[in-house]
Amino acid sequence: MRTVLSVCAVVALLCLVMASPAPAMDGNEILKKVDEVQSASKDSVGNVTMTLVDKGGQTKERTMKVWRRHYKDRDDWSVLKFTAPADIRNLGFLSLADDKMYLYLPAFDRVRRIASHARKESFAGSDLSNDDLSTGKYSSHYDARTSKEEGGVYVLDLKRKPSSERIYPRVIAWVNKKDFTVSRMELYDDGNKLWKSSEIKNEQVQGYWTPMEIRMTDVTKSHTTIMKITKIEYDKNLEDSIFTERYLKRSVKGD
Amino acid sequence: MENRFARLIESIIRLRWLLVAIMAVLTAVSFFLMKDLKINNDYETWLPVNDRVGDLLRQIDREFSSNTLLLVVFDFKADGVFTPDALRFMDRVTKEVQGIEGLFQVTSITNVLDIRKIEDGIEVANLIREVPGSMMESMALRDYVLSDEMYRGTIVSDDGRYALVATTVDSGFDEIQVAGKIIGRIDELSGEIPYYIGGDMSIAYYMDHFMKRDLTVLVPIIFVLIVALLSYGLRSVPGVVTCLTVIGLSIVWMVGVKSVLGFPFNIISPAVLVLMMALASDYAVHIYNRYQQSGNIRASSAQIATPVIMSALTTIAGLGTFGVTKIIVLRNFGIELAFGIAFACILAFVLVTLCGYFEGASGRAKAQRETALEHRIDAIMHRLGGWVHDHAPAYLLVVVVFLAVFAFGITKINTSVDFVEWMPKDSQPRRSSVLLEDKFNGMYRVSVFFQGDMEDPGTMAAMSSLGNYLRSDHRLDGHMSISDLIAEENWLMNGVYAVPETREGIANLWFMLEGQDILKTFVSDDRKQGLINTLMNEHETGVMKQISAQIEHYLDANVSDELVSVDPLKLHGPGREALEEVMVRKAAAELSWLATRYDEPRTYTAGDFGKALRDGLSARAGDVSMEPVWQEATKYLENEALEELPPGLIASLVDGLRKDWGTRFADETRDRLVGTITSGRSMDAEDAQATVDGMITRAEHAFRLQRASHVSASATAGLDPVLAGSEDFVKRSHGVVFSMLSPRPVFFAHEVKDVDGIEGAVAGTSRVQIDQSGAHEMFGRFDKLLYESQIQSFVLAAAIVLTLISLSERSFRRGLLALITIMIPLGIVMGFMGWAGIPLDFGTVLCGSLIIGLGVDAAIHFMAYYRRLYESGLGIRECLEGTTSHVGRAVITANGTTLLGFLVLIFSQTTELRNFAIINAMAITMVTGSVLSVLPAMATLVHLEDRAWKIELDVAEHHIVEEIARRDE
Repeated sequence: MRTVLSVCAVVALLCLVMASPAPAMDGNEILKKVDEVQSASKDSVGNVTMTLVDKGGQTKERTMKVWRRHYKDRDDWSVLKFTAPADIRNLGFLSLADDKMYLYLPAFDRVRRIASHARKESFAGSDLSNDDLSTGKYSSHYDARTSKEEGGVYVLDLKRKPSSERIYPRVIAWVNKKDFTVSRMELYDDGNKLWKSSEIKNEQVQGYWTPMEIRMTDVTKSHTTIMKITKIEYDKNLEDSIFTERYLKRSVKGD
Repeated sequence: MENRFARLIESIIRLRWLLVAIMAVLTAVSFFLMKDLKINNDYETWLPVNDRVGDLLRQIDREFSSNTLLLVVFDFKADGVFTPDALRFMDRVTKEVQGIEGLFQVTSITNVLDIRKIEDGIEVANLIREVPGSMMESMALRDYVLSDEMYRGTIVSDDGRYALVATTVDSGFDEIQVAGKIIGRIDELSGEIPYYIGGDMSIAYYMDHFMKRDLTVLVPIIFVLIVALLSYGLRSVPGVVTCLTVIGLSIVWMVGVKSVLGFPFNIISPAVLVLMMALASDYAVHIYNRYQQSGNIRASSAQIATPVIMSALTTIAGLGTFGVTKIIVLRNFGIELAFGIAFACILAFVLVTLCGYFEGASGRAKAQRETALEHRIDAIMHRLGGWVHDHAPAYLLVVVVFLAVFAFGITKINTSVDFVEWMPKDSQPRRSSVLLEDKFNGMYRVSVFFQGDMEDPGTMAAMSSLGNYLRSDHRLDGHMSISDLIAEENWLMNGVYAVPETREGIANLWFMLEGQDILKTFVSDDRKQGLINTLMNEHETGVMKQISAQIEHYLDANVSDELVSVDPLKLHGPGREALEEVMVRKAAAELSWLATRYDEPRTYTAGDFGKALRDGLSARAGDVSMEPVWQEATKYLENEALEELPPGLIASLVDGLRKDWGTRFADETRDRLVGTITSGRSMDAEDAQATVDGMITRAEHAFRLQRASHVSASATAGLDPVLAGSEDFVKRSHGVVFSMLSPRPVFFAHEVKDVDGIEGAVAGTSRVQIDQSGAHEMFGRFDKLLYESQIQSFVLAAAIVLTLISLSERSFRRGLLALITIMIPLGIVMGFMGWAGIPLDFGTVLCGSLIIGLGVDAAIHFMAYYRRLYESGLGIRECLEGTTSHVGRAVITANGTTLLGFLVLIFSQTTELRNFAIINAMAITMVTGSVLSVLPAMATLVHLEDRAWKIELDVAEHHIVEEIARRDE
């Protein structure tokens, strides 16, 4: 009898423990997960369409090819080459670690270094800055706090670390609990006023979560940029030579 | 006619309650409509629609988000701008102002666009990325900023003491409201730091401000004075109340009509209200006065109806002539005041009739007794009438001589449309205009507007060339255009200050500027429209007209709407020579403009550069040092080939290029060089081809740079050392020469139409339309329209008044005499303006027609009373004495209230209203004097009476005779 009662007590206790909610994840842990998901693959090659929409509704479209190599312990490398429109075809960007960025102007057949101060500047007239496109890990640059949970989403409040040169001192990110993809972000300026907001649609390609569409709006200018991935392939074992100034000069073969 | 009016007065009395109800409804409706009233002191909107200058200004305003500037200048005194504290302050101000809704662009030292060379590259970013934390960093910044003409005098004064924040407003927002927010914010932030507000948006803002001050100050003053005058003149509370009610209701209804017509309040509105208060009472005073004299409202109203209505009609006619002026604010002034006068006249009859009816019904009506003063005035006038009659010829001679002397001054009248000068001397716009012109580039924009493909190399080159032309005018400064930025990038990236000669080159460099807000102030989003923006460092109307005329002349003579690029190799003999001559002439002109710019105050001509440029064109490879060319080729192969090349191969390639330099574009040469690469298996054929092409292109560019350096050095060799020491001149002149050496030079089609064989040598064409716009055009247009308005309204007013009086008097002669009575003093007043240097402006332009309409009232009254006396059987002298004594007092009283209204306006904050007041006060005073002296003198010599009067007198006599005969029977 005593044994039965003890077993019942243990079972009841176990049920109680199992019924109570699991302790919420720490914001920084969530952010690390986000970085892991974003850098899960080794590398990728993709085609992207960038559409700029001004406040009058007028649009301007550009297409580009992007090569990217992901690193776990440092900023990713990337090469971006425009394929359209014709007057900027083959214009290219190379982004390496330690804020090294290069620009290739095909009309002059010259590669030029871009200063690190340029991170704040708009990329190709879009609402994304060079900083937005840089491939650094969030966890290296921000401290995160879970401000709330909404249904299946963590809402993280990110504060820039003192040592970081990221242009947004504060970011609010909506992170999917299931897959740690980011579905929405709000980016704030130095005066803690909302500067930009972005909506992100993620899909799985080759098992990797991919931001297939990013819609970034500069709320101060009522201007939107839509980046859509039209094709992407992962783990192509990209060679180091791709991420060089010489490669930047090569003509791109768009497909 | 009197019988008809008598019936009308009877109807007014019979339908009194209905009329009261109608008046109440109209008043209520007017009050309701007032909620839609707007204020608009944006003088750009004063230009008419379908006006070329106005339409272009408005188009530019829409396309470039705003073309109005609000400039804020901070004075950092002895410490200057370049201290960490001052720079932090500027950073804070810039960021705070940027957050204001409706603001499109804010530019200051902290965020102005900076294109600079960095190691291996260029950087396009804000001038200040991080505010300097130390004096050393600040001084380094100072050296950088003050050495660059893009910043020196534009965002920081030459001496580094003042810093400027330039703002523009997003189209679609209320500019005045946004200006108010900016000024408010600046005031909160500035603390102890003095600041000055300038720019055309500040003028509109302060016009608003002074208009409101005038309304709150002048309207009460005139109200008090009118009440005092009415009380003294009428000595009857019901009379005063009735007259004030006429004034009040006519103003309310006038404002209601203003709202219906969409006329906004503006800087001239205080004049409208003050004048209405002065004029609206006139008719009621006349009618009530006559009623007081007779004690019978029906009879007195009927008797006075004709002269009062004629008086109103002539005033309305005078004001209504402004309906034809193209300057919207003047047109509105005339129309709304005309409505106001009409309402005042109608209300005077209705309300005074009703007042008299109710007074009579209550038994309060009594005839007025004259005061001692009035007796004295009558006596003086009586003597004046007699004196004028006795000395008419001499008096008129003196008047004519006076007129002739003064009228000559009319030829000296200048116009002034300088809105800055309207403001009080101690106002922000006035103080800042001095500072902006002295320490910065000025405050009024001059733009050249391009419509075409801004990415087309020909259009860019035309823009660049025109920019250099504008630089030669020292009155223009702060030049900015997309071609300037592209050329600057090209200079830093490729060593030449010129726009690229290919579409791709322009697009590539433009790519680096994308996202910079400042672009939107001079190039449209679709890149189909662009501006060269400059500022004028003077604001006098005469200077603006000069600049406008000069640019117009240049555009007419040198610009057409088609651009052609030419392949000179397809021309031979005379055709080739002719083309080269055009190229040299163009380049020489540009060098002369640049030299004039950078060696102020000397002026240079194309002839100073022509020979050196001609010699330079025929220079060959042996005339310039080729070492830099080979070095450039070597550097290219070492660092920029698609694959790393061994040093030996690099040397072979450069050597091969050197040997075959003369045939470098030939396929054989290229194939040979490609073979050199592929034979060493350093890269595949495709990459080798790309490498050889790149090397030759780079070498060719270096060669052209060398030639350009050689030619520009010799072209400027004999010139003032100031030019050689000017980095900007050297850089720009080098770019001009480089462009001259282009293998595909671009011209306006008309420049080369006579070149032999040109049709076969045209490599491409593009279209462009070029116009000038800006404050100078706007003010020039206002200037022209002022003259036109003055003449049009003057002539029209005179014609209408002459017609009206001739018809009512049934005598062209009397009409003419009445008009001459008014025109003589007007001629003297206008002449006085010329002699005294009082300009024709938005205030004084209103004088002529207004005074014709107002002044002829007195002449009408004079002639009406003179006729009455003549018909009673008096002689001419007695008629004149009686008329001047009776009408004199009435005219002095009536014109006296008008004069009072003008005199109150002398207390206006704005010069324009004060000038308006002075000139009109002079005019109305002289017109009064003319009616009481010149008209009687003319009546003495010319005689006012005529056969019509005699016939009527005969008829009257005949009736009397018949009556006597009947009685006898």
